[in-house]
This record gives sequence, C-alpha cells and structure tokens, in this order.
Amino acid sequence: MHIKKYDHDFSRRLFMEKTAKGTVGAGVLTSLWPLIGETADITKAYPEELLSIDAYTKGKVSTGDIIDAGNVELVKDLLDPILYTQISQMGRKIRIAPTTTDVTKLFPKDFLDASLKNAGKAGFDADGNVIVKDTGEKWIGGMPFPDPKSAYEGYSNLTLSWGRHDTSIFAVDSKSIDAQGNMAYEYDLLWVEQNTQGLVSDPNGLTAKPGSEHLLRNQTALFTYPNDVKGTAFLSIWDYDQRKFPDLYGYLPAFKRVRRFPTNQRFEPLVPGMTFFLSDAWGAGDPALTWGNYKEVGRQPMLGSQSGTWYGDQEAWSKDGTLHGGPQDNSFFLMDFEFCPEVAIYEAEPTGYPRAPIGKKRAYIDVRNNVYIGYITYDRRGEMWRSFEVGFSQQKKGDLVNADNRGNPEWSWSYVHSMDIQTGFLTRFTHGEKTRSGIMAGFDTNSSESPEDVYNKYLTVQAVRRLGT
Amino acid sequence: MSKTTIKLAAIAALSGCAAVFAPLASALDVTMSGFIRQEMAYKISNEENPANRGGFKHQEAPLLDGPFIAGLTGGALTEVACGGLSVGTCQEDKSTDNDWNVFATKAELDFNIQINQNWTGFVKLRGYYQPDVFDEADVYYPGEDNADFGDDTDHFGVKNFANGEATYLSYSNEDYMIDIPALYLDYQKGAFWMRIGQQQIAWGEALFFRVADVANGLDLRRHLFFDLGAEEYADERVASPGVRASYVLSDTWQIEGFAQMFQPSVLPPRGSPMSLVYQPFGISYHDGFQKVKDQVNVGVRLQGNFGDLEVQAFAVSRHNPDPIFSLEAGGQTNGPFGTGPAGPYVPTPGTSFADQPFIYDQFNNGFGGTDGTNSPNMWYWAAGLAGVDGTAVLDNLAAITWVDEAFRFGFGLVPDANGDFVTSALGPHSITGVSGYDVLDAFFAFGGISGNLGVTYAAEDVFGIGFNYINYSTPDSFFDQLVMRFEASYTPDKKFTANDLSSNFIVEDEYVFSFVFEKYHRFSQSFPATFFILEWMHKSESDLLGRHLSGLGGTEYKSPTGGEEDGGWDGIVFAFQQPFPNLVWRADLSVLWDLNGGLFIQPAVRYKPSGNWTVEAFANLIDSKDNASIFATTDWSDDLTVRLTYQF
Repeated sequence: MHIKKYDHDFSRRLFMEKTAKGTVGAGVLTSLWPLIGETADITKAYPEELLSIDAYTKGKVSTGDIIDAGNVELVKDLLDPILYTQISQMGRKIRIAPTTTDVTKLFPKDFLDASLKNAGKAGFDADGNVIVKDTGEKWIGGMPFPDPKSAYEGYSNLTLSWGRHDTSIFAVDSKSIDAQGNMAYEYDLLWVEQNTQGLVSDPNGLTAKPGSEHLLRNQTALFTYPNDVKGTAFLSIWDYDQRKFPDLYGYLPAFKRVRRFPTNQRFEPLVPGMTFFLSDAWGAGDPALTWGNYKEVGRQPMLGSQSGTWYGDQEAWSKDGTLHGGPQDNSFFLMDFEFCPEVAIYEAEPTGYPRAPIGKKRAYIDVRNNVYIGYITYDRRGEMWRSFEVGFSQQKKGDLVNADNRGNPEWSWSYVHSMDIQTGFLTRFTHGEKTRSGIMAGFDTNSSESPEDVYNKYLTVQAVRRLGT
Repeated sequence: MSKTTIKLAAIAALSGCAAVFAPLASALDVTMSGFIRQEMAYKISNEENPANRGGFKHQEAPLLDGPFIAGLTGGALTEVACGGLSVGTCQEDKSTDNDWNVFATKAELDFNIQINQNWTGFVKLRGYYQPDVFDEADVYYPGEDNADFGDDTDHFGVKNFANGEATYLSYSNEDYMIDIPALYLDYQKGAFWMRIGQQQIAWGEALFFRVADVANGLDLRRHLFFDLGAEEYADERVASPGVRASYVLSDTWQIEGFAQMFQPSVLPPRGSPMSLVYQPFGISYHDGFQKVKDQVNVGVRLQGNFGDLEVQAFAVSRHNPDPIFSLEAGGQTNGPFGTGPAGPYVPTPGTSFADQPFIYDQFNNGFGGTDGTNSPNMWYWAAGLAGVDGTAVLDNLAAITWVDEAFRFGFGLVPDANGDFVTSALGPHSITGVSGYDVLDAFFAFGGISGNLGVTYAAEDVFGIGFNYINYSTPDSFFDQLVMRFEASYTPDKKFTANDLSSNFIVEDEYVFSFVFEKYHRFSQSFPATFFILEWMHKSESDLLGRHLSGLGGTEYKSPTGGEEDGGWDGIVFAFQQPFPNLVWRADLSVLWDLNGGLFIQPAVRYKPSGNWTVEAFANLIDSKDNASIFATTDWSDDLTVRLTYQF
C-alpha cells in the first residue's frame, strides 16, 4: 500500500527541484538504484501516483485504453511534442500497457548484472572519457552511471553501449512514408555492432577485446535491399576516446571497392528518403565529446514504449498488422506505451559540428533503465525537426520467448518511428527476425556464431568488401 | 513486387555430386532483385562518328589526285572534280545523320544465395537490347566480320571466343546481348575469405583513373565510358572466372590475392555508333585472343592501417587486356597486281601482293571501292585520328619484300641513310624528292583500300604502392577531414602499339601515378554536404586510352612530331555531388581535363521520387583541340542521356 500524501504535485515539485539542483539521483520516496540493486523492484521508490496511469490521471485513463485524438489531451503532459502531434493531428493511436516495476524486464540480463556489479566505479578522466575511477582503466561493462547525476553521465550510458549486448545483429525493415501517406522508400538494413570495451556476456571473462583496447566498438551498416543500394555498406570503427571521430570505410556498389571516407558528415540520410541520420543512432550516434553543453532541462513522468512490442509470433516479427493513422491509414504502428514514473530530459548541442543543421537534441531518458523513450532534434532556428522514437521490449510474448543461451528472455529495441515533422516524412524501422536475404538477427548471447565469427563476417574491411555485390 | 524468396529444399537432384554439395544443399535462401531501364543518349551535335564510314570527313569530296610517281612535279596535290569521274576516283557521299548514340533497354536480375554460415553465392544476369535506330552507311569491307553491302552492324560482335562471343558467359546477336557478369560463391571462415567464379575485381582508390585498378579490362560496347560519372566503370569493368582470396593478418594488415582467367577489354564493334577504330580496318580479335586464352592473370596486394594513414603495395603479373594493334597480311590475290606486277621487274618468287596488309575493295567487282581509304589525305587523316604515324606506316610497308621491291623497282624510290623511302607527309624525300602523299597517290590509283589489324595481348608485370591519409583540422574548416590518396605503379618493358603499326611494338618502362583529394563540405545548414573530388593523373609514356604519346598529334597533312611524348600525359578530374535534402534530388558535375587539349564535362541530375523509380539525366559535352587529345575520336559524340529505371 502506498501513502497518498505524495500526491501529483509533490512529485512534480520534487522533479523540478531535482532538475534545478542537477545532482540528485532517481527516485522519489527513496533512491531508485540501491533499491533496484536489492530487489529489482521500483515500487518502493515511487508513490502510487507515479506507478500507474490510473492513479496519475485519477482514473480518466486506464491500462489497456487506447489513446487517440479523442482523449490525448488527458495525457498531453506525458508525451513528447511530436508524439502528441501525431496522435492529436495525424490519427495515431497508442495503447496503454501496465508499468513495468520489475526492472529485470527492462534490460538484457548480462548488461544489468554488469551495471549492478560495477555501480559506483565509473568516473571521467581529464579528457572527459569514462574510466574506472580507482584504476584509470577504460570502462568495464554495464551502465557506467546507473544513477546519473548529470546529463553527460546520462548520455555516457547511451554512448558506451548502444545495444546493451556485446554483439548485436539487427535485421532492420525500413519503410518511409511520405506526407501523403504513400510508401515511398523501402530498404533492408543489416546493422551489426560489437563492443570491444565493457564486455559483459562473460562475467568471468575479459572486459576488453584483446588487441582492440584502444577502441570502443566496430559497427557495420549494410543495405541488402533494394537493388540500387544492395551491397552498400559502411564500417565504423570507434575509438574509445570520445573526442575522436570514428574511422569510416564504405563499399559503394558502383565503385566495386572499399574506400575510406571522412566521418564528420553525420547529419544526412544514408540513402534517399530515410529520415534517419547516423547521428541519431541510439540517441547517441556521435562520439559523446563531439557534442557539448549537456544539460538536464526537465524531469517528469511520461508515456514510453518499454514493453510488449516484440511480435515474435508474427512472420519476420512484423508489426505491419498494426498499421494505422496518417493520410492513408498506414503510417504508424499501434504500440504499447507504459507510464514511466520518472523521465529525465537531457539536451545537448553539436558543438563539434559548426555547420550541423541541428541546433540541439533532446532525449527523454527513463531512469529505470536509462534508455531514451523519446528523442527530438531541433533545427538551427530552434524549431522542432525530427523525432527518433524507439520502442524497447523484452523479447517475450505470452509463452513465446526469444531466449539467450541461458534461458533468459532477450531484450532489445522493437521499432522506430522517425518523423520529420516539418515535411511530414516518416521512416519506420522494424527490428525483424531476419533480412529478406536470409541473414538472421541475433546477439552474441543467443547465437551459434561466436563474437569472433561475427567480427570476421561483418566488421572488417574484408567483410564489407565481400558483402558488397 | 519487391522480392521473391525461394526455399529450395534439399537439392537432392545433385545427389550425384552429394559429396561436394551435401553441406550446401540442405536449404538455400535465394533472394531476387533487379531493375529494368530505358537509357537513351540523344545526340546534341551534328557531327558523326569519324571512325565510321558515314562520319568520314571526306564525303563527295574531290580527292587529292594526280599523276603517278613518274610525273610527280606539282601533281600530287592537284584536286580533281568529283563529278563525272568513275567510282573510285571520288569519295562517294555516304554521310549519315544519327539522332542517337544509345537507345537501349537494359535489365538486370540479381540472385543472392544464402547457403550456410560459411557459403553464400551471387548471380547477376544482364540483358541489353539495342534496337537498330541508327543511320548506318551501306558499306563493303572484306574482313573479319564479312560485312557486305547493306549489312547491319553487329553491335555486340567482338568474336574473341570460338562461339563468337566477346566475354565469358555471354550470348549476343546483332542487337542484343545477355551475359552473366557475376556468378560466384563466397566462402568465409574466420579471417579467411575466398570468392570463386565469374567476378569483377577492382583495386585502388583513385576513381576513373586506373592506377591500381589493373585486374580487369573494360567492356566499352554500350556507351563507351560515357555513363554516369558517379558510377565509374561499374557497367564496363569486365568479369572473368577466377579465384580471389584474402586473409586478415591482424588489425593492421591484410593480404589479398587473385588468379583470374585472362579476358580482354572489349572495344565497340566495327561500325557501331561509338566505335573507336577506323571502320576500314577489320580486327582479328579472335586470333589474338586464342593465343592467350588459357593465360591466368595473378596479383597480390598487402594493405596496412596505421591510424590516419593507410598504405598498400601490390604486384600483378598479367596479360594486358588492352589490345596492341599491328597490321597483318591482307591476303588479297584478286587485286590489281594478282601475284605480282608485270613490267619493270619481277618480284622475288614466293612473294606477292597478298603479303602486305591492304586490300583493294571491290576490285574483283571491276571497280575501286570508296568505303576504305581513297586518298593520301584520308590516309593521314585516319592515321592522325588513330594516333599512329601515317608516314611511318607507309614506310614500314617496305619491310615486306614485295612492297620493298615495288617501291624500289616499280616506283623508283631509294631509301635514305635511315632506310626510309618516305620521310614526311608532304615534304620531299632527301634523295628522291618524293613525299608520302606522292607514294600513296600511286597506291590509290586502283581504288580504295581497307586493311587487317592483328591484335596482341602482351604479358607484363605491374608493381605499385599507395596510401591514403585523412587530415584533421579545425572543425568544418576546408581542410578538416580532407582525404588525400596517392597511388603509383611501375610497369617495366610495357608494350604499346607501334606508330608504324608494325609488330615491332614500342617497349618502354611506364610510370603512372595519381593524387586524389576528396572532401565533404557542408556549405549551409539546410543542404547536405557537398562532395568534391580533385584528381591528377600522370602517365609517363601513354595517354589515358593507352596510346603511346609519340604517335599522337598527326593530322591530314602531317605526321606526329613526337612532341606529345615529352613530359608524359597528364589529366585532371574535378567532380562534385550536391545532394538535396532527403537525397531525393542530387546534382553532379564531372570534368575531365586532358592537358594535351581535351575537355569532357558532364553535368548530371538524379531524381529518385520513390523507392522503385529513378530518373537520371546527364549531358556529355566533349571537346578536343586536336588529335593529340584523348577525346579526338569522341568529341563528335556530345549527347544528352536520360535513364529511366524501375527496380523491383
């Protein structure tokens, strides 16, 4: 039973106070992260008003309700402005899911274990890179700052491990819808990333890949469909030093060979019609220290897609059966959103990119697992420009589970809605089971291929050359 | 339709090969994609291809004519009126008027095959249909193609192979070709990768300028190399069966090698719209290729990465896919001389007119043909266009006994101290006072001539190095993330077509290098970055087309002086791409400046209104100062190309 004295206004005042102080961790009734470390349950950290949409809205909105243009005003304060616009003006709907209070459902197990094991050990070196503060080593795995005290700490959580697995292969079905609702561009994208630092899947193993200690990760984006981009691939090799740009190698089918590219142009689509920029990836697509002026600008409860969005029972994990809204009723996935009791709103500016078209980015970070449930970029005039809304979920639906090698449900992103609100162009990503060319999605934790296999297969210059056609 | 995924369960039919295929056969994921494209290059100049009969400079022209050797004085440059003269004395007008350089439908089907964790496959089928929308002159040339009056040009007929095809895995007819430019299996395990089968191999980082890109030749039968500049040689680089393998030695080093069946470059066929070779010449590609068809080109490359600096070194032992031309015996026994002239001398027994390379067209029909070379000025004009020395070709004929005796005893010529019977186009010989024009004038008294060219693919070794470096500076300054690339190659004893078209090829060491600067620069916040590339290529002995520099610069009235050889050949490429927001539109500009006096400018625009459709339009604007330019043979071909592509 929860004490009613901590009413809605109490929480709101407390959040404002936290933002103003800038150094206070998550939790209202008590600090969230020690609690998670002890019980994995957040309920004692928040009053009832922050654990249920029913209580928060005094019964006007309940779990299972559909939010649409008819009732969106009831939750307007819980939505980022682009999501609100989509629901209120574009026919989008979302479904209210119960709030996840068991934090183990918000992480892949190994990553959470490492975050808890290494909690409190992280600091920054003189350059601003994350280190183990007692030893000066590079980071050893998990979130370095599970209870971030600053926006930069929060962003460091995002940057150091994108997919929260040591190795991830994402089969991405990308479709772009124009302002008239026409399905204008369709791509198959294979996104492969592998950390070389902060490895977590073997608790007794090395935390850095031998020989790659100076690196943070290797990552390849490979287009496998349609014909005119098939074989186009970009390999990024990230230095651990977040002041440095990644090395970028590209294979363009017309050139039939791998060439080295500069990497500072990160604010344009990879292929025609896609609203996604390299800079948007994981809300932290650029080296953290190439951005600056990190700050927390707010803290509040919000609706975020943190569960129930894995469609493992559908062919290729497709969500197309939920499409609705937009000019032709085919723009948006109908996805579950849950009431997130505490969301930190961070902003940063692209200080290392003087001519970037982006003036600032804003990320909405759910403090339960420190992922972004919303992400918006603003143009140089300060006008809202593009969203990068991601749904995360445990890969479990009823009895159907995509489990890791030890039987734990996997966890990952499920979908993306990336909308250019100025032009009405929308790009949807679905985290699919496999590409249409047959390449399976997977993680190091549930794949028959070893991390070394994945590295050789996708993450070298040789691999990019071979994958090109 | 966007895809067809075919599950091929247990290809047990291959059970006879079960031991080999069993691991591969359990299940295959086959994904198909492709496109169909209409590509149309509309001519925007009134000129015609000078290599073809319909584009010859001399049409209905009063040919330079005059008395034979005996009456040299002042006669050689006398023009006679065309009208009223018999066929063979006047160049008949067979001018053509073409609207199109290309009007073709192209389709490609790609099959990506996922076999298992280690094996994948890829197949590309290509079809190209080129309907006969061209205005072609009716011609008669004996030769390899057996062309005859009214014969249509075989647009794909380069008969390297015994089956009449130019390339491996190809089937073609006069107006279409179907081929398989890719048919290979990839095997990858750990740090090892091997590709087996029909494949293209492209090395090096310089674009368009081929320094390290020496593994494959080019197939120029479609739109020469005037496709969209941003596609480099994607459609031209010609595949052949081979094995390519690489091994990642460490995070720093990787090594790669290939062994690939020799496949020649393919020039546009005789008389085709974009042909580069003077139409009266028949070219014996088949005979040339048959001598080396079993040869294997091999190469090895080592690449290393040292942070911002990358290095590579390579060595290739190959037969050069680009042909070396030489005149070969014409074999004509029904010409004006039969087995030898009667009169002032008797040829050495066993020699005859058939030993020399030229053929009097239609002489057996009772008159001199007008489709070949008919006059001294045509001879020198064609030689200049081809980049050979018209005087040297004429003089070198004397290496053939029958011609030597004809010169000495028929024409009364005397060689000078260098052994030359003629020394210039119009200038008098130091002893006899005879010019090249004079001798040729006698030659053409019996009508026009065509000839046969033999082809040689020479063995050579190419050694090279390269590096690229990314410069970091103040963010967004022009020099920030400027990419610099350098490549150099050295080919000892490289062979080139001789200026006299003899089989005594020019042999010289050649050095080639390129400097490349590339930059993505964002000029405004509202437009994506502009891509710039600036390249400089230097070749010590030959031009971009592989012609030795000493043969360039001849004209209708003079032989080349060899001056172009000094300092080598230099070319500059400048190009940029400006994508528009969302990349739906893109504007390109590509410029190739031949410092010998040529300019190629290609403005282009690309519009991709949806995932399935792409529209591209580009203009090829070409100019050459004179025959020393690489564009001398193509500056007639200005066109506006539109490509409409639907992909599936």
